[in-house]
Amino acid sequence: MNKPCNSCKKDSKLVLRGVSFCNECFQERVCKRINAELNKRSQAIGGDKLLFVFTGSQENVAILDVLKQYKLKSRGTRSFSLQLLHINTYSLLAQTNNLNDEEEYFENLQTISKQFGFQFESVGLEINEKEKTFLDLLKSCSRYPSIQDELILIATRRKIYNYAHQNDFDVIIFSDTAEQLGFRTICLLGQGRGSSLASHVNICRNKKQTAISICYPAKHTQMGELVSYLKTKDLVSIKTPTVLDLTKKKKNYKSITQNFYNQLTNSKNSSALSIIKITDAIQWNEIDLKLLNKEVSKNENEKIKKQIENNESKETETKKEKVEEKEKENENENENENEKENENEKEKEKENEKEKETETEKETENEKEKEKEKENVNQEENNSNQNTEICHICWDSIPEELQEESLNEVKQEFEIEVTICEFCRSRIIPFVDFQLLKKALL
Amino acid sequence: MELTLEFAGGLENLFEQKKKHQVSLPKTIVTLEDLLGWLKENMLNNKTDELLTEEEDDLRSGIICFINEIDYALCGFLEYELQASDTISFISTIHGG
Repeated sequence: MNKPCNSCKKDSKLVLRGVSFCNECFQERVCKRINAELNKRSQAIGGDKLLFVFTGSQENVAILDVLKQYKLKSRGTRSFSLQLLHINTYSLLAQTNNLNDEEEYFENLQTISKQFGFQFESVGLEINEKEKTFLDLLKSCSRYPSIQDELILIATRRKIYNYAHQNDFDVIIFSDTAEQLGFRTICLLGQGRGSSLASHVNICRNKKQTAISICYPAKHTQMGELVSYLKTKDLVSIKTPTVLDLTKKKKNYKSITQNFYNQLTNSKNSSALSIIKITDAIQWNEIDLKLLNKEVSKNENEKIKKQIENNESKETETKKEKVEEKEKENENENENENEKENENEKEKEKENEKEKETETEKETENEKEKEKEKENVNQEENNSNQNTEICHICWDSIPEELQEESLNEVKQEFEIEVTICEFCRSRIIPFVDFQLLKKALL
Repeated sequence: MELTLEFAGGLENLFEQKKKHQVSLPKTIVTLEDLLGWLKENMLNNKTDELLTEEEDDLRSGIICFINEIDYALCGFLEYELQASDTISFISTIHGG
C-alpha cells in the first residue's frame, strides 16, 4: 500500500527524502522553495528587467515554468519583465559535425520557449563565427578538461554580463541547482578561484566593475526535485551538451578536480590555504565593499558633500538669529538715550561692518576649504579608478599589491600591457595557444 | 508480458536515441530487479555504467524511476512485481544545462 501524501493525505506519487507527496503538493513544494529565493530579491525584482539564462535542459525548463507562474502572480508594483538569453555552445561542445543536429537542437529550443510564450535571443562565444577562434582555443588545451571547463565558464559569464549591462538588465537568473553549484564550488576551489565564489553566487561584474544582481532560485533545490517536477507536469526538455561531453573517457567533475584533492594534503602548495581564503572572503559585506569599491567611495563623497551643505545652512540660520537679537537690543537702547543711541548706533554700525568683513573673510575661507575638499574628493575618485585593476581574462579584481607584478610579468613574456591575475597566468596560459587566447578573450 | 519502457534526461542515448520502447519480456522476468538484468543483457550491450551501479544490481545514484507515473520508492523499490502493460520510466539527473 502506498503511503498517503504527507500534506493532503491523498494517494502519493512521489517520495522525497522519505516523505510522500501527491503530484500537486510536490509541485507546490518546489514552487514555494523557488519563490522564496525570488522573494528575497523582491525589492530588486519589482519593476525591473530580469534576464533568464535559457538552456532548455531539465532544471532550466522546470525553473522557467515556476518563474512564469511567479510572474503571473506578481502584479502592480511587483511586476517585472522577463527575457531569455541563450549562450550557444552547441558547436563547441557537441560531439558532432552534423549541421542537422544543430538545427534540430535549435528547433527544439524554440518549441520549448514557445511553450511558455517567450522568445529567446541566442548569442555565440565566437567573436567571428567564420574564424572559430574559441573552438581552436578549446582544442589547443584538449588534454586538460578542467582548463576547458574554466575557459567556457569565463567566456560564458563575460558574454552574459556584457549582454545584461548593455541592455540595462537589473537581475540575471541562472537555473543552477544545489548539485551544480556544489560542483562549481569544488571546481573553483580546485582552480584556486575560491575567493571569487561569492561573485559567482551573489553579484556579477562587467569589465568596468559595475555590479548586477544574480539570482539562483534553485540553489536550495536538488536536481531530482526539478526533474520530478518536470515529469509531473509533462514538460519537455532537451539534453544540452556540457564540457564533460568533450572528454573521451566520460569524466565527471570529480575526476577533473582530482588533482586538487591529491594536492590538499601536500604542504608545499597552497590548496589548503586557498580554502581558508574563501572562508575569509565569503562574507557578503566584505565582498560588497571590495567589488563595489568605486560606488562605495562615491557614496561616501556624496555624504561628505551633503554634510558640508548642511553645515552651511546651519551657519546662515545662526547668523540670522544673532542679527535679530542685536536689532532688538538697539531698539531698547534708543528709547532711553537718543544721543547715546546715535553714538551707539554709529559705533554699532562700525562694529557691524567689521563683523561683516570678518564674516565675508570667513565665508571666503569656507569656500576655499570646500574647494579643497571637493578636489580631494575628485582625487580620491581618480585614485580609486586607477587602483581597481582587473584581470583581462576572468575580470576578477587584482589586489593592488599584485598589480605591478602581473603587468610586468605579462609584458616581459608576451609583450602586451594588460593585467592578468595569477590564477589565469598559472592555470590557463601555460596550457593554451596564447595567440588564440589573445584573439578570443583579450 | 509486454511493457513500455521510457528513457529521458540523456539515457535515451544508450537505447538508440529512442525515448519509448515497447518490449515483451519472458516469464522469468518477475521483479524490477529482474528487468534491470534483462536490460543489461539485451539492450545495454554492456554499457551499464550510466544506468546501473558498479555491482550492476541497482540503479545508479541520480537515476529516477517511475512505475506508472509513481515513484518506485512507493512501489517497493526493486522488489516491485511487474504487471502487464506497466510503464517503467527511467530519468537521469546526472547532466544539467
